[in-house]
Amino acid sequence: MALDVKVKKRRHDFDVDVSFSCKGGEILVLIGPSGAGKTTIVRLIAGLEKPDEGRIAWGDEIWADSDKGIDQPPRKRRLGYVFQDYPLFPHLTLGANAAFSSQDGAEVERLMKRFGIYNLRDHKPDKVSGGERQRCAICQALAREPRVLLLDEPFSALDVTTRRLLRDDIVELKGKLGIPMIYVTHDISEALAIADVIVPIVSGKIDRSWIERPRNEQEGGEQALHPKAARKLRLSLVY
Amino acid sequence: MDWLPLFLSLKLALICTVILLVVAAPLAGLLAYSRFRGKSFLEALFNLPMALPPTVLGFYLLIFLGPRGAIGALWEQWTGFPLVFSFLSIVIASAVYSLPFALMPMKTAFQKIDRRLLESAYVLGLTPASAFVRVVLPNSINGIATSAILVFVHSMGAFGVLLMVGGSIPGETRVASIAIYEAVQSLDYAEAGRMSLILLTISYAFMLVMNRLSRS
Repeated sequence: MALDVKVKKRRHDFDVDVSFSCKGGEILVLIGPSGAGKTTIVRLIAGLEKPDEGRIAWGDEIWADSDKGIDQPPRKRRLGYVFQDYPLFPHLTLGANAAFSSQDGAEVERLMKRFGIYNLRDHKPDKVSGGERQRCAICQALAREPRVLLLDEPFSALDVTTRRLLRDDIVELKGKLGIPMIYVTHDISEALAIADVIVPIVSGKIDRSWIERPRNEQEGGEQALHPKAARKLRLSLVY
Repeated sequence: MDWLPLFLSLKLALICTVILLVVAAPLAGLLAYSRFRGKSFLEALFNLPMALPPTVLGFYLLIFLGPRGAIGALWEQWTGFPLVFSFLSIVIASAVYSLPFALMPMKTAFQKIDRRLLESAYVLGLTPASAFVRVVLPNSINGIATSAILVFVHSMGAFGVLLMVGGSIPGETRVASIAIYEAVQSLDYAEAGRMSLILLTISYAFMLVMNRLSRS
């Protein structure tokens, strides 16, 4: 089942206006400089913000449609959302966090073992590392059996090794889950490592020229792309 | 020493605390998270008992709870007994009097909750009401405890408002603060001193606990 997104949202600095589609079993990477509107797009998909115009649909199920006045609340969209800085519930243990929205204890246990945090199930979030918290956030999102998985710069605060390990986990999950996955990053090498489709976002719009432009640190922390990588990107870009 | 007024004060404070925690928590949640027309008017109304002289508040409560008042008449019709000058009337009066002290610490605690925790709860399938119970309340324990302490201590010390609606009926509405006043009036300073010392000790102990809470 595909996720179709065609939305407009007015912001104080610019308007977000994008249209794309993500198939089941596919990772679509939203890439662009900080403050480009990537998180706004993900929040619109999650139902945490309401689009001014447009439509968001999962298969035949409409989540938001400004013409028809439909705006399903987040809880009815049944999706997984891994936030940038793992806001786990501080009053709950990792086990209770992972099982927050699941009735299936065996599945939660399996997920926690799969992500190597089962032995930490009785620990509170402030007693474990950032990587362990983010693993727990992924378990929490997956235990809900989501129909779409949203990952908003999920590993940006982690060290390189942990980031790479978790990124591999996400790629592995893609095949197993078979659901549309939207991954937000400003790191081109990360995008290249996991993306099936790359959608470059600049000032709220899709702008493929951004990929090839030389950039400075402020614009996204990446220098001009190696020509070989740029070629690879051009091949994978669909928008 | 007559222990009955002290016992009555403790009973009143305890009942008021329980009632206000239940009533004020959703109200504080509404004030912390909702936007609606007339919100500032409503908030000012809830906080009014803090600014009003207790006798003014007591006067209006007497009017409402009295046999010709909206609530008092209904109560009398229903039960056959007048509402004023009963223990229930001082519970209502004390609850209204202490409402701002329950609301403010809770509202502040709720506003401090990381907004992303709530959003995370919504995405994980919770309604705003269940997110309030499962996420906001457990993470606002200190604010809720501060509210409880302030309400308890404030109810223990209430005087004017209680005298207006409840009078001084032994075993029914004659709480410690009123008994102390009456003891002084009848020049029984020893009795007034003993009761005052007990109230002072209780209040000071609660203030110490509250300081600890605000530090953590």
